[in-house]
Amino acid sequence: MLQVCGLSVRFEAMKALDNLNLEVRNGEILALVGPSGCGKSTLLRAIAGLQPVDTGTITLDGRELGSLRPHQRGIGLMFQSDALLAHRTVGENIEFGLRMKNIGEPARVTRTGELLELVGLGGYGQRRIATLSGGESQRVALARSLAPEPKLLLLDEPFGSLDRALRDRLIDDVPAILQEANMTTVHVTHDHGEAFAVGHRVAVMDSGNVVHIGTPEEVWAHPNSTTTARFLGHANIIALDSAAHLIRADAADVDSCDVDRSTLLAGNALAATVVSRRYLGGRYLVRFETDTFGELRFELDHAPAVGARVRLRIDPTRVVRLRG
Amino acid sequence: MRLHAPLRIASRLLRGPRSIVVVAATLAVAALACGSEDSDPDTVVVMAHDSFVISEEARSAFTEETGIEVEILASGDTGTMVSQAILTAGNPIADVMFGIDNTFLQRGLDADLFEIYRSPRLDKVRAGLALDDEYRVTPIDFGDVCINYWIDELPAAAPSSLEDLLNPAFADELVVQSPETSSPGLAFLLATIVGTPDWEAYWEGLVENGVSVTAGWQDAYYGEFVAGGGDRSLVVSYASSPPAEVIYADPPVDTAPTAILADSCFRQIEFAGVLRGTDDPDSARRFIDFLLSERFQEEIPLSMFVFPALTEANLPAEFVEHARLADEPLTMDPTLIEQNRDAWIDRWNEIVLS
Amino acid sequence: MPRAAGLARGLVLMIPAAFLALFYCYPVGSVIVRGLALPDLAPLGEVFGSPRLREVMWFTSWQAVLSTAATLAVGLPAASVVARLGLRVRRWVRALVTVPFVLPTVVVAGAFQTVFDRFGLHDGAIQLHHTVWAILLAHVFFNYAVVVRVVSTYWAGLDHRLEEQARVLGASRWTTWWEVTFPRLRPAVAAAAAVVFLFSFTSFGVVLILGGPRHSTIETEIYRMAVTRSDLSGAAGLAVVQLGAVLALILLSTWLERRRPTTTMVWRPESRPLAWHWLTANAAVMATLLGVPILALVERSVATGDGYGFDHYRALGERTRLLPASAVTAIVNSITFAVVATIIAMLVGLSASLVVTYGQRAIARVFDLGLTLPLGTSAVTIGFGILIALDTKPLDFRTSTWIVPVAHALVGVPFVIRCVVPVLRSIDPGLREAVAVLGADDRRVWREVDLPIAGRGLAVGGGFAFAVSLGEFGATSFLPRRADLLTVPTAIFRLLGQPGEALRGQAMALAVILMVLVAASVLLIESGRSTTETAF
Repeated sequence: MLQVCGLSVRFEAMKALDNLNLEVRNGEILALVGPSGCGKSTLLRAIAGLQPVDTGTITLDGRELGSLRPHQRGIGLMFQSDALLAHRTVGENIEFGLRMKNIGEPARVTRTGELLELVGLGGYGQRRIATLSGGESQRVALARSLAPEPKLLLLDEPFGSLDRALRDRLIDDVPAILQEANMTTVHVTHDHGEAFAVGHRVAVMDSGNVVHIGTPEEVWAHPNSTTTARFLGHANIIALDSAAHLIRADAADVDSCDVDRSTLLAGNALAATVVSRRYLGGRYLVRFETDTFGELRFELDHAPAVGARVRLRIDPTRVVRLRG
Repeated sequence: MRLHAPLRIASRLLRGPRSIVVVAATLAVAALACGSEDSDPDTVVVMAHDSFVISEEARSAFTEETGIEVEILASGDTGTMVSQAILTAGNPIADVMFGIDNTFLQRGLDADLFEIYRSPRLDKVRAGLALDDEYRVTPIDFGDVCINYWIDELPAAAPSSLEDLLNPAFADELVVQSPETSSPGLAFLLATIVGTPDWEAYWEGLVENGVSVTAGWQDAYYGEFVAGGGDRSLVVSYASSPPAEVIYADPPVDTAPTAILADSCFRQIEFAGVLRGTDDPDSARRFIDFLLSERFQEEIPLSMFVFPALTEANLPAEFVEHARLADEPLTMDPTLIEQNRDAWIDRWNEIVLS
Repeated sequence: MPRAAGLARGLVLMIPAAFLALFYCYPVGSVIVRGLALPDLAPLGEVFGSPRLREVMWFTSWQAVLSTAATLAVGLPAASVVARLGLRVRRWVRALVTVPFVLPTVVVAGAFQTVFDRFGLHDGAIQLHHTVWAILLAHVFFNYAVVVRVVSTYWAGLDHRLEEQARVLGASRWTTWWEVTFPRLRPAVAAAAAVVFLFSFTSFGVVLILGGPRHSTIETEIYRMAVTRSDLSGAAGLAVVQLGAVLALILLSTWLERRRPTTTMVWRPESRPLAWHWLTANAAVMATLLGVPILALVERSVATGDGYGFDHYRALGERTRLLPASAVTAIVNSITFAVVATIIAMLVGLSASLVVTYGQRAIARVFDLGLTLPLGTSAVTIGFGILIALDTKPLDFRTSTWIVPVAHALVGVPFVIRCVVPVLRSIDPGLREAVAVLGADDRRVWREVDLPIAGRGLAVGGGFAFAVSLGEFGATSFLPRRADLLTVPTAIFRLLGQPGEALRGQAMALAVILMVLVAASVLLIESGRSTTETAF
């Protein structure tokens, strides 16, 4: 189990991490999301020992890491850029960490073979790094990080540089691989979709702090601040009773089409005009111009025609009051 | 990690293959260092200009006879060698200097480079070569710097005096070396100073007649002179150049393609001396005697292309047949040379180069 | 471990520091102090005050600037081509362009003369003989290798996707080069330019022989003062002037080099398109500039009195009476000196590169600056300096045989540094971190990441150091040395010291052997382990 307590890192006047606390359970994949510059990469680097910390402690399985140098921590780290050694083969890259642990060659060969199978690159051992595609490089980098059986794996935007199709595939594959290896993982991304897809839990970071942590469902359904809400892709943030509220995208139902203006505005209903609609496959994302709150977006099973006047019924349990 | 990187990176050097390199380099350096220990009292160290050559046979004969090994230090051209000796005067790098000539002699004497030694063999030396009355240096060989011409390429009848070179028939035919950077160049300037009534006017005449100036002998002889494919038929070179043209001809020839203009010849005499401060003056003296031995004197012509100082020394056939020495070469008192050289060269620069 | 690490750290600092202090600072300092009779500043004032000095200084500077510009103009396009060639071809080309670099000036001047004569550039409408153009041309000829080798090595490692991106965004070839490629190449270009400038600034033989006696540079003036006139004080004054100028230049260039590349490199090859006409044009320039004079040399070496043959090469087998050792011995000596000089240069250069790259800023600067200075210091100053400084036991090294490779290494070290530092600086820090996190301590990070990648720079620098030694660069012409340890360039010079077609033929044959020797050695050095592993 990884515990981070009161961690602070300063870059000159700027606080990159500000008294940050975090816990990652064994075998768990924690997705760490946040806008760029929120400190998530700094946190990873601090855990890995690549970034000196000002105050605070990092403990892994009860062992304080502060005094240990990166190579002594037993942590795996995978970068956005694969950071593979171009002058070595795929196999040599993967067995690198094993060599550093002075593991004998037969064991290294076996383990390398296993990992190549695990990441779906069986038989690639002798290939040159130069001949790999982007997705293959990332898989090799992942295999290399897993090979020494780290107690904790840190993934820093591992799919950031890949094209969408490849990313979608790896987003499915990688958690499965990690699950199979029962790897405790911190997966940093700026994309909430990716975070929801890979994380058992999601931690949202902002300005050097974890501002919300929970299961993807919890975090999405009940964001606790405007920033979190916005970052998680929520668009409908309104001011109500002098406080910010979120009307979730799944909160609305279209009551009737082409209603008369006089029938509107009763109960939890809003009068709105359809501005645009986008088919997402199975569902629609519809943009409304409401008379009361301006533009709102909802996901609906059926979408009225653009320009239609509608009445939107809002489910009050899906309206969340936000802090700040 | 950056801050401490050198420290830890450095420790690499002590392990693995790189330590082998360190050790190898150290050993190599040590081995080379040991090879050149000259503190051995039975070795005489001779500093000489680059053209000095002694045959293996002569060298071992000397060692057999005296028990003294010979080590030669090639010290650049004569000017460089003399400068080196002046810089190290009193704490010399060698026991003997060979090759200081009459154009540099006074500079060496002024710097008090030499110990007095009168070789018993000095009596057998050709008259007129021993220029130092105090016996600080011993003449070993001599040669003449003369105008050479390519016989078949001359546009007019062969010149017979320095004045002839001003003849418009020889326009753009002469190439000389700068006295600033070349020993024959300096010798030729001295020749014109002694051999013409007004050397400044003479050089103005040469400039008008299209004289070409190079920095060194090679670029004159092989660059602009006919011999190297150039188009000039007159060059400042040595009296020994014609025999060299025969000995190293390709294809072989019977007669030299070049000849010298005897009236232009300036005599260069090369001396050897015991360097002041040597820790082994005895060996040094014996080596100077050896330089005047018949054995060494007779190999001088073909190894250095100069003439032996020893009257008795036999000349090789090629020299007898093809070499010609000026009967009355131009000469100048070394003191006079030393006193005026810089001023003359400055003046020459003004006339010829600007 | 900590003790070993401390010792190693000390070594990395001490090796270059001691080397520089003992073989450069102390000798040069001695010349200046003795020559100027410091602290009396009158002689210095005399030197500064002379109008001739101003003239010489001006000529020295502008011909060096023009030489550098011309070499870059010809060399950079060639570097772009070489960078994109396949590994094997690239290695060959890089070895071949090194050939002119080692040729004795006398020989090159002869070859130029032949070429000038044949193409009517001697007396024809365009006269190159004894003009500043001949000097510039020769400087380009000699220094072409510096630009091509240093820049192409670096260029080959650049991520060319940025260029593709720029092209896709609508930038022309030229704009792409100027806006995208050049800024990233700048460290390498600055390094190469600095070396070329220093070589041109201190050029001696080229100025004397090709420029003729009418052209003087500070370097030839120092020689004139120290050797012809035995005026140590004048020479020392000029040495101070030269030192000052060179110091200013190096400061400028290190400042340029310090501006790191805007992107880190990917050490990864991808097929790079190479326009046919671009390749052809550069090959043509290379063939004309290097090929023609070299062919002239080769032709002369096989030209015998009655046609063509290898007579001159055969003749080298026996010792001629003009040489204190046979030509074969000279070849062996040259190789031995070059090997030792290369080992010293690589050892000192690598240590210094580490300090320059990772050390404290101030120390790094001093190292970088100090170890580049020998390139820009007159051979006379260093040679005579060693003679007067290292003259008492236990430092009486004046006539030690190993002072020869050390003096060569003095010139070789800056090459190693200039080749290694840009590469070390360009290594993606992420790579080191990734490896550290995988359990490599700093030593292993160094061995697994820095060394293999820097190895390419080290090999290229080592190749230069070897060439520098084979070509007898630096102070050795002004140091006394054992005559029987004759080297190839000195043998060539002496063969050319007497008239006779046979001697000239042998000298040319020996020059051709020198060329083959340098090409083969550079090929060998650069095909070492580290290069193949970073193979592209």
